[in-house]
Amino acid sequence: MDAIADRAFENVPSGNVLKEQDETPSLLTVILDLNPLQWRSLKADITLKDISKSLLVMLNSHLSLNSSNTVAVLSSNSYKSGAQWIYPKPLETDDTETAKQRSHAHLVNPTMYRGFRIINDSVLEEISSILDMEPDRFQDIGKRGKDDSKGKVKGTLVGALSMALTYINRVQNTNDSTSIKSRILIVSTSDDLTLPYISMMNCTFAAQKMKVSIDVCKLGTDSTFLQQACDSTNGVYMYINHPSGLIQYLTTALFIDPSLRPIMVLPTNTNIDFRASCFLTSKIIDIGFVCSVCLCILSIVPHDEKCPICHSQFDPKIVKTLKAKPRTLPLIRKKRKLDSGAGASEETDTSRAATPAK
Amino acid sequence: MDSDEEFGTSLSPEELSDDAIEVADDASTPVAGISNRTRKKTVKKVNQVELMGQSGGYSWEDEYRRSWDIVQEDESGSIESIVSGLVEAHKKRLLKNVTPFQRGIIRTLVLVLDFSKVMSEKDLRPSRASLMLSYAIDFINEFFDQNPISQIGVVIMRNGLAQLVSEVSGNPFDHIEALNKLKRVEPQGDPSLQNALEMSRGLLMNTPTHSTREVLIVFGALFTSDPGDIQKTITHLQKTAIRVRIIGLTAHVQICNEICEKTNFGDSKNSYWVILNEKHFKELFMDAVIPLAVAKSTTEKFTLVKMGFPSRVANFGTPTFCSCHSKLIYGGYICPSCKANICLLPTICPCCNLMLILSTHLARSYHHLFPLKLFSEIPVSKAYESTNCFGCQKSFPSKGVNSELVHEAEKHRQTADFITSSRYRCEDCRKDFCIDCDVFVHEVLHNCPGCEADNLRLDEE
Amino acid sequence: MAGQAHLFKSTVNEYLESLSETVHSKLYKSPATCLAIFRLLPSLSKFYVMTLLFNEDSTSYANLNRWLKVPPTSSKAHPHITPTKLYQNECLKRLKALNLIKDVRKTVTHPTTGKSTTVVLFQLNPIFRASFRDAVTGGGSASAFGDASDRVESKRDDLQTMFSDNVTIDYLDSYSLMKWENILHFMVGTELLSSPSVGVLSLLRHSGLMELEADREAKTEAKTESSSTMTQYSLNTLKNMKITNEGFQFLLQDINSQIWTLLLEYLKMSEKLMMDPVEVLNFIFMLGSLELGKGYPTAMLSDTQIIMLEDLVDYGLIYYPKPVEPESVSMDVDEGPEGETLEQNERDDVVANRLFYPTRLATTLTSDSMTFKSASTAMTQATAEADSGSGKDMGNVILETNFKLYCYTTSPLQVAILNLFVHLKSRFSNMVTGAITRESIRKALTNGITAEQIIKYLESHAHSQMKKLAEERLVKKLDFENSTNSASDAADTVLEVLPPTVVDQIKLWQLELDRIQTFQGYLFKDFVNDQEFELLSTYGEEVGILLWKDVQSRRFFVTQEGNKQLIDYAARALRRQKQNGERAATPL
Repeated sequence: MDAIADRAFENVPSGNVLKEQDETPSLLTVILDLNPLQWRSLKADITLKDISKSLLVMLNSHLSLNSSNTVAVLSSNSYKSGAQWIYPKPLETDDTETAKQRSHAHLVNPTMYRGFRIINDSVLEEISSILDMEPDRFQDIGKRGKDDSKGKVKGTLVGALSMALTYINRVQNTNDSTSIKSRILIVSTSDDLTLPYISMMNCTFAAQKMKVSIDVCKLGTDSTFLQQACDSTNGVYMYINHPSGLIQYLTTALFIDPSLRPIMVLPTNTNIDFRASCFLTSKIIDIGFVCSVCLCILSIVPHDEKCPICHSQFDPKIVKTLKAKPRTLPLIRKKRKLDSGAGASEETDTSRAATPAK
Repeated sequence: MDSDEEFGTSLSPEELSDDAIEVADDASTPVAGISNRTRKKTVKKVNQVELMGQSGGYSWEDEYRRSWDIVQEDESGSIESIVSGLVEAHKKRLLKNVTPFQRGIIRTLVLVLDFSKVMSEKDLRPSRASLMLSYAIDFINEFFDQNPISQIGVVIMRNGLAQLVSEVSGNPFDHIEALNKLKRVEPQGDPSLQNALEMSRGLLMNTPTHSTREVLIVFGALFTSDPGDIQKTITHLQKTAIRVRIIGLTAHVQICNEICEKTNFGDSKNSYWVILNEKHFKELFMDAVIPLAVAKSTTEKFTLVKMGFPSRVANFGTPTFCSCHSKLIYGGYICPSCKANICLLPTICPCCNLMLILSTHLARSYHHLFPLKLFSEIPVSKAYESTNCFGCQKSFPSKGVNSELVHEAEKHRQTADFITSSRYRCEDCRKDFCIDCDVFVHEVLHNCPGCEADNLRLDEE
Repeated sequence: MAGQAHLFKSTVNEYLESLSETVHSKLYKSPATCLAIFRLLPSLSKFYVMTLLFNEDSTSYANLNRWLKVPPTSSKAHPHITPTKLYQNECLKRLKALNLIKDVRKTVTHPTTGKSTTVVLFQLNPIFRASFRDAVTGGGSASAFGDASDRVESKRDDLQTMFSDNVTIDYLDSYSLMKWENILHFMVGTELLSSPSVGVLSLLRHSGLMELEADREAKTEAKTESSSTMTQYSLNTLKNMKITNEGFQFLLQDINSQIWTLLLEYLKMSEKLMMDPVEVLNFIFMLGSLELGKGYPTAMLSDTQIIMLEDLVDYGLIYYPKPVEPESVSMDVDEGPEGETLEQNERDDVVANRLFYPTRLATTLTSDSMTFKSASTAMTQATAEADSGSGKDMGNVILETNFKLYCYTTSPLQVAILNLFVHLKSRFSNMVTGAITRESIRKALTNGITAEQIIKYLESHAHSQMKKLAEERLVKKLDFENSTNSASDAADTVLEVLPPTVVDQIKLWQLELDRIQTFQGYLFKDFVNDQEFELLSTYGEEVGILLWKDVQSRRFFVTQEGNKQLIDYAARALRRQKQNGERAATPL
């Protein structure tokens, strides 16, 4: 009797668990770094035009996976408006825009599958309209902030990421019956200095909580923070060595649908730099001081012996030991029997002490 | 386990039951019933303000308000706007006020669970004990999620003894496993607050100064059977700067109130609660996840802690022994000062005693320290500047509300609360958000998308 | 949700796989078809296709394996048989069956030894690759990628301006639903003002969903004859048809699978009527890629497709407004295309200027069942409300652990369907209540409905709240398992929308009825040694054809379809063994 019952209850072969995943639609959110200066520096390798082409193909491919799949595109780091939506556009502007769009010559081949074409059209339209504005805005900004004549503005990748997350939150909440899976792809060219650390981390944790993977397609310089973001959200971090073959990267390594993640080997570099940045100097450090009250990371002991963030007064005794001879750590009171190792560690400690003193 | 014997085994069962009565008598005014006591107290102190109704009297003296009275049709005869208003009002309650505090981020907490006979009561489903355990597991997960560099220990009160269930450590899995094992244990005997507190004190004794010392008690019983004078224990607790918080499952108990009051610098309101229902129980539990504000009276000097941020190496090619557990591992973390190979973080480097941590661990706590400002609701008006939520692009109800309707609604005070502009504005970047984004941004994301998206504001952090 | 989709997917896939390679090559010339077929593939196959799409070279199978995680613990007897592995094999099998990937044999010379060996590599079907690339790239933005496809929508914009846009999406929705529900109502046996057309009715009969008294008698006499000779009946005779067991099963499927079931039957029927299956399929798949609420000119269609058009109107897939000219009457497919050709020519110019409108039923053809819902939610608020009004009342059944069932519905159709297996108690203005009882289930079972179908129906129609709760429970479970690092059993991690007690009980009730399960297949026995048995049985298990095995007596049983595959493998394996044996023998 048992044998018979068993048969009926496991009528599905074990592979079926995975088949369930074939049906789940997914949302792909792309954040495109539009900073003109960064793109200029990459000019030799790849142009924004090339990457837009590849991106559109990728968007189309994503849409073709499942007809319930959706995409969203945001721009970041542009001079025009920092971070902004490219697709979907808010409804209100749509009316005026569509009229314009109609009159516009089709940017993509009109024979394309309509579902793709509408999206491709509006994405290209929007990007070009942002780029048109860039030089003017750049000058504007240059005039306003005299000290920032270099054209250094705050990076807005985090803004775009935050917007993407709110959007994903909405999509996941409204379609309550259909559990849509989401992932974010960041095409980044700017370096870490433009990233506000805390906000970036907040985004990372929010994404982790929402089970949204963050994939990064990195051009230009490597980014520690983005690596960390990918690592903790089970995303793929790809440093693009050969930008000309970008399409292949985008349709393979960066194309792993959330439903496939559990069974795939993610082609990501697992050597991750977990160093933090100093709150005062923004220097990336591997050994630093942490305020016990607010946990801010400092590379040097501040002169006034006060935490620059929470203004707590540090214990002068401890600061003294830290400043002078940081060979014993105030944190550890436990006596350890390290007779043999003590000498060696002392040495390294003193050598380290040289850096903060500067 | 030795502490277990210290407080527990010296007592015989007879002593226990005798003490129970004595202590209860000690702590309270003569033989007045417990329920009687609590009622008096509630009326007198705790909820006086909250109980006031709109007319100034007690809420039960107010006229009864039917829930459907507040629903009114707008000019087009639709009740859509009012319904969405109701929904929003509900969501608004989720938002808590955030004022930046100095908080003790590095915490050591002992979780004391009542496992006495009363916990087998079934007034909470499926039973008090099992509900408490499942919430405790949620709590521990959430606790380590938000306080990654903190430590927890778990103690239960059972048979008049305090038993250590899991040692103070920073590894959530150990605790959860221990709690899961507890599921098979029957609640038994009487609880003893004193024993539990003494054991907690022992556990918290040698925590470093920069860490907070906290005890969180879930207390189901209405009495405690202690071997000695609990007042002495309380003074000991005060001396060692241990802060006790209690979640009561049945009614206010004076001794609990006293413990909380004395260990929290006279503030028992924010440290002693009694649950209303299952949901409230969970909320109270989750409230304890948020680090305590650093009390003003303990203005000792703060410390700087030296920490290392190791990098992860995926694979050395060959497995190597880690220096912390001597296990064979592929890859691992490399201590930045002595280059030792570590398998699990956060930890203290066994070679050079440097505290090793991932920067992501620290970053998890930052939102407690730099909370996002609350958004302000845009007053109802005829026309609005924005049509879409800046975050999720949801379009706002575009209709400006008819001023007559607003006027009309103001007569019924409650209705007015439910007519909203559905727009919530960040005061810094002047961007409008919908209620869903507002809640999401403050509860989960802790970033304002508007401020972050603006490339001109350089004055960050 | 997924269960229902499988049902139709598997049938469509079976049909597609049964086609010959030449038909496949013809099919793949249309990018729309490529897109639709691509969407029907399992996720991993899709991923493989994508990785190969922009890769001109052929790849080895080993490369594909490297994408997949190897489970960390291989404690079982057959470490290589994991769900992942099975899934991968399944995916590759599908790709091969559809001729999407082709094996290429290459001779490679070893760099050091100089020995040449043949390596089996594979590449994407070049026709498919070209069309699919066109579909994805649009051919325009990157001129390097081939020429623009002869896509149907090209003239749409111009024509749109010519014709007044009086056909709204709402109208289309209600139109298609009216048509479709009419068919279903007819099947359930509701009194109707107008019964479906002859074309629909004969299709229903042809597909065996409904039958006449005469059919039933004929069936008992000779099964083969009844299906092959399609005697024509008048509308009135056909109206008296009775629903069959298959018909009951059909009713329980979701709308998308129902349409596919009918379309597949239509395909089979059209083959008999000498219609080109490539054209028929192309048209069906093209419909899936059209846009809702837009009119398309009939000029772009071939003759066969115009004939189809008329039929699809009957199913509510297409709205085809009557032209001003009175002479063009809708025709019946049963009369066959031969007689139509003359009339066709006359009508050509009339037809060329007409527009047809795909309805939502058509545009969601190539997507799974959920799209119907999500498409409506994706609409702006106003249309979303209209959609929910227009009868997409899926997700409204609440089933409690005490076997009580509540269904928020106003549709008499759904009430009728529920009545098939639920003991309904009371009916309110917007809901019905009832209970699942042994009797009600038995009644359904004797009608030929299986427990599996009932469960699937309940699952796919479960209230969103039930699904949400189930998801929450699952997430909690997974979190817990992850946190405790306990090996998660694959069976445990399935989403349980319905209370498991009820599900099990329904299954048990079915078991009461059929205690014996039969499989067609082959028994393998009398193995020479353990090794040989092990080799073949594990292979069978790996490709998923093994039904039963007994290690002690060295016997196993495989499915009918898998038999040939296994024998081929056995022949290969044994030959190899022999060779190895000989080689080993020679030095001695």
